[in-house]
Amino acid sequence: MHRYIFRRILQAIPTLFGITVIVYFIMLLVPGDPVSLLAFDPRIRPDERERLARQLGVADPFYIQYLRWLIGDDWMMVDTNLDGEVDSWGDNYGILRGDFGTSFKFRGSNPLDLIAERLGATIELNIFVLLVAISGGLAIGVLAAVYRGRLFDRITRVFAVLGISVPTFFLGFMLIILFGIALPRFLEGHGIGAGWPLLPMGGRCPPVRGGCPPLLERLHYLILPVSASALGGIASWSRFMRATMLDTISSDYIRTAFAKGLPTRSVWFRHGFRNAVAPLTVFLGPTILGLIGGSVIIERIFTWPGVGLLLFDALLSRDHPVVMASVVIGSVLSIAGLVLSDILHAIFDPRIRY
Amino acid sequence: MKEKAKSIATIAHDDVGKRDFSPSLTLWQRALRRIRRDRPTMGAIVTLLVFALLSLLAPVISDAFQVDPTTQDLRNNYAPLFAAGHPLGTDELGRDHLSRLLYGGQVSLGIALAAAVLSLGIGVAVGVFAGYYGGKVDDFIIWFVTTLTSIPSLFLLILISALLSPSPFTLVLILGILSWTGTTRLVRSEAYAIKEREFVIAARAVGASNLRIMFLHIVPNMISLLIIDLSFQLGSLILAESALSFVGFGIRAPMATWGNMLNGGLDYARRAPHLVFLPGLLITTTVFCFFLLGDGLRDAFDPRISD
Repeated sequence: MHRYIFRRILQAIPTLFGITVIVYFIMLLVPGDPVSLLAFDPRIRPDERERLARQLGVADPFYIQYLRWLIGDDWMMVDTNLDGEVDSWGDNYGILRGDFGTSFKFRGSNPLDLIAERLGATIELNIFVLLVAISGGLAIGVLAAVYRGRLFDRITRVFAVLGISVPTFFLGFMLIILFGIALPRFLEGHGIGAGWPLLPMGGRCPPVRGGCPPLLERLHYLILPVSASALGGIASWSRFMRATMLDTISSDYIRTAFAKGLPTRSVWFRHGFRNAVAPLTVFLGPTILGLIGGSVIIERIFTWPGVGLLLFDALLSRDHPVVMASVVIGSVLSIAGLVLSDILHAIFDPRIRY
Repeated sequence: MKEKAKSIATIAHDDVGKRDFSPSLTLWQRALRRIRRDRPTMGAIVTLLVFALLSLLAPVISDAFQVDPTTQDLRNNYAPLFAAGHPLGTDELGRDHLSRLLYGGQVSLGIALAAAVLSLGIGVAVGVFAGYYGGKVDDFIIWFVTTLTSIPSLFLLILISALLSPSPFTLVLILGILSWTGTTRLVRSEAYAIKEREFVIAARAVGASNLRIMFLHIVPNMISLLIIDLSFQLGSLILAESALSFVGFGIRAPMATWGNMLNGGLDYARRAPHLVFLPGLLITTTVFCFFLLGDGLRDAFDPRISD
């Protein structure tokens, strides 16, 4: 097992490497080069432009630029005054040592610090989404398997397809319209509900000095974004669960359990459910991957101050170092999720041998 | 499920006399027959055809109501449903909502269709190469696919479109180039299995080239899989395009798509909720129909299910 875990983590390294390559080359696609952005004055002489390009490090071929971005250039001399000889040390540590440059928008701040500030919010939101999506999905899936072919099964089947068809942003809007506009209007019209604690329409519970606000208050802010974000997960997990549950229930040891006279409930839940859940761990990684990607949308609708919103703002203000850092960190988290899910799968499902 | 178990159990003895000895149906004939009997799938097909027809007829319908999608009328903005001259009201700039929905459908459906075909093309070509050649080619392709799918897809999509400000044509390219990985995985494993079959060995024995074997012998044997994949792909591409346009990095105004019509969503919510409901409902229904269709096609082509 330890060898498998070690190997699986090792396998993530070429993937991470590939991600840095892809992200870097996407950024090279950006129209407009930094030199003409900084020196659009036509009176600037070509050799001065050349020197500027060299100082910015964009005069090198792209693979050298990529390597300098990746591992930094503080260990090598670079030629900044164009006399053909290297003259000063580079000052870039490279992203492997956490140097993504400095944010354009927030002058002088390290993009990683900006992300670290926001990461807690994103993780908090997505942990709750995961909990709701998985527990809801498992419960519905088991019931659909128990009542296979009956009304409940057929309704949840339609619900499952519908759940993955509704765009998150549309669902978010409907929740906001319902709880933020329609419900207050209705209550007002009937002269009731003055002073009732209605659901907040967005944002995260403001932090309390010296610690987190009480869980209950934070939950209040989480209800709407989590409901909007979890629906798709509930829908797909209920289908996974139903499929593996039906698979399990038709196996021999379940028949044996019934044959020796165990109560139905105990067979379904103690023998069936436990074994049916194990292979589902493999879906955990893709779910986490989807949530991290979807955080841009959900955080934008509910102005949730997480990494998704940071990426969105950085894209709008063309704050490239922050954009690259967010995408790389988001991908690192996703890979961590995928690795974790594979390892859990190997632990919980002993039939899998690698 | 129950019927299946019964038919297998009883076919051996008492059904022999009643068995159908008419000429057996081909895969396609049987699939078509099953789809015709499958009411949800037929409903999905009809709905999709209606949506496609309405979008194609956008100019005709707009002319009939004497409206067009770009004329602004600021004194008549946020008109309610069934307002005079604007059957579905107007948006914040007084543009006619009906014609924007119709023309938006043209763009949304057209982009999804073109991108799905492109991604299917790339996916099949790359997947069949990986599966057929195996070895180092396969390792490299799988590494690339794993890498691409480890980046949250929406991050990548938003990143590229935010940087390039796409036109419909470039958006098709972006969506197509980013969404072929699932198809590749599918085609690769299928090609792996098919290349060991006798007809491939026979083709090689008579001297068929590798390209010919791949594209004329292996690929045609997975057409049914590809049709199913296309249907799911269309659904998810519509979702992707709408999400992208919604955050403002996809197709930009004045051209309407169902996604960017929701861009001003929160401002609409107070004054004219139908401006949110209608495009959202159209996206949801279309995606729902494509997913239902995919499910139905999967059952229709499944040789393990008996009629």
